[in-house]
Amino acid sequence: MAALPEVEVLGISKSYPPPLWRLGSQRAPRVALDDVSFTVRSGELVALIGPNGAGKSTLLRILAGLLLPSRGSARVAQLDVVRDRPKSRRVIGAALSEDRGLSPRLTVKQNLEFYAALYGLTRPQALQGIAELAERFEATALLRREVRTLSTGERARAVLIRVLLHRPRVVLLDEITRSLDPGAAARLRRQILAEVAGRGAAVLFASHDLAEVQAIASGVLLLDQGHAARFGSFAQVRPDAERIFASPTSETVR
Amino acid sequence: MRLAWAFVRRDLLIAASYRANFVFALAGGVVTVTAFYFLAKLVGPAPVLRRYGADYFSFALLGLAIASCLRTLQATFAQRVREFQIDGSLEVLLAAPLSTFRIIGYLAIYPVLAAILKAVGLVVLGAMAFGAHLKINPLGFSATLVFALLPFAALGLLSAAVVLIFKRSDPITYLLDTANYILCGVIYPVEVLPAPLQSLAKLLPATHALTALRAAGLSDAGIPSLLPAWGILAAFAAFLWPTAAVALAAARRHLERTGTLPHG
Repeated sequence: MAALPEVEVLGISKSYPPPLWRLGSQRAPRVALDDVSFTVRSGELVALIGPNGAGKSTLLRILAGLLLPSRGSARVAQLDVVRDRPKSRRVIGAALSEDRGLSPRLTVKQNLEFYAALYGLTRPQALQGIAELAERFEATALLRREVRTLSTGERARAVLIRVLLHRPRVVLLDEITRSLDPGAAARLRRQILAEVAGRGAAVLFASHDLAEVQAIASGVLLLDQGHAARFGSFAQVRPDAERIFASPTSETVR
Repeated sequence: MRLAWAFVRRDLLIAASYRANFVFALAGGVVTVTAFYFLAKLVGPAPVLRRYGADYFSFALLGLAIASCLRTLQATFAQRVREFQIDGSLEVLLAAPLSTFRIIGYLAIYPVLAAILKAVGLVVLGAMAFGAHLKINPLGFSATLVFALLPFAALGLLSAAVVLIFKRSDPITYLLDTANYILCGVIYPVEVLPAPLQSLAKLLPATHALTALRAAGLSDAGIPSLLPAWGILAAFAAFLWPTAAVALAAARRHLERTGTLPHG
């Protein structure tokens, strides 16, 4: 019998209500996701692609337990992301867009120790986890540096260590390589792949970079204006992706 | 306990990285105590203070120390939420497997401990360097302080719920802060107010907290005489804590429905 999916999304829809002070036609809710369903199994790395505003970040935030869906349900590691909160958040490691969770005045190690405590790790577990991950992410030398002195690439590695420290079964990454130079992005991609292969986590990562998606994704979910336009391998999704990204409403794709 | 320590350690490390801030806070305390010492010379022996068993300087010193603690407790939850909204780390914190109530509660531990330490420092400075007359009942004072902190912590959590939703606005802290300083007898006794304002003052927990803490700190009041104030403060807490819990849960739900959690 096949293992149960680590991420199971069933008919998720999300509409953002309009601000109370909006009038008339402006009071219509903004639909961010419309009836999206898919699954991700342990060891799979699924890319979320789609133009800006397609619903990628909304979907990741729902799975992270930071947004309520309007309809449908989602489970991570067999826990419902709404009913089983905050417990469901323990099995998730998330770096959402423009992640600024590391305090600039503290060293990387001090930040990581704090987050380890938040996720219930004992001090020996935290220290061992930090040392191991820092070695794997070539970040041992960064541990004693204050976050404010790190480059963008170094900061991205520190964030990734924070995300993986409590050994999450589901990893959610929102454009984590966006601000990195091509070399740093490629290094980080290799490290994410090695980590997924090594620990068997299920990974969902949003990206605009089709080359990056082709390089590391085992599956691709193409979102377009909140709809799941296609779910399959990169080769299967590519023609639709190129068509959607080429349309005049699309803003950016590399 | 380990989690509480993680928050305190983090805040302590950040505070220690701003060394000048410690010096300015210390200097601010010394200036305040000095100013009230000389103001007390102007006031002289005031008959209205007889029931407190103290001179004006001792009365004001204890009032300022207590009010600064209570004010910190009332304002710090909302301030911390706002701070984390602005620096963008609130979303990462709230993604942790803890309730919103606990996370916001932990955020306030360090500022409250720092405020209590500062208040103790002010009182010690006033007593040692400026001759304030204190007759403290340590048990009565400590217990009254705990009873006083309870409703103010709940008010603070209520303010945090408002800031979670409205971001910049914190009307609860503003209104209570103003009312406390004008009505509750921080730097002058409630008895100097007109009768209607004295009645209004009784509706605020700060009035009862200040009266009882002064009784325990200035005239060695025994526990039986403090019991009525403990009962009133406990009643405020019994009403405010569930209200704060419901408000925080509703605020979190609002953020998750509208998607405004990452907004600064």
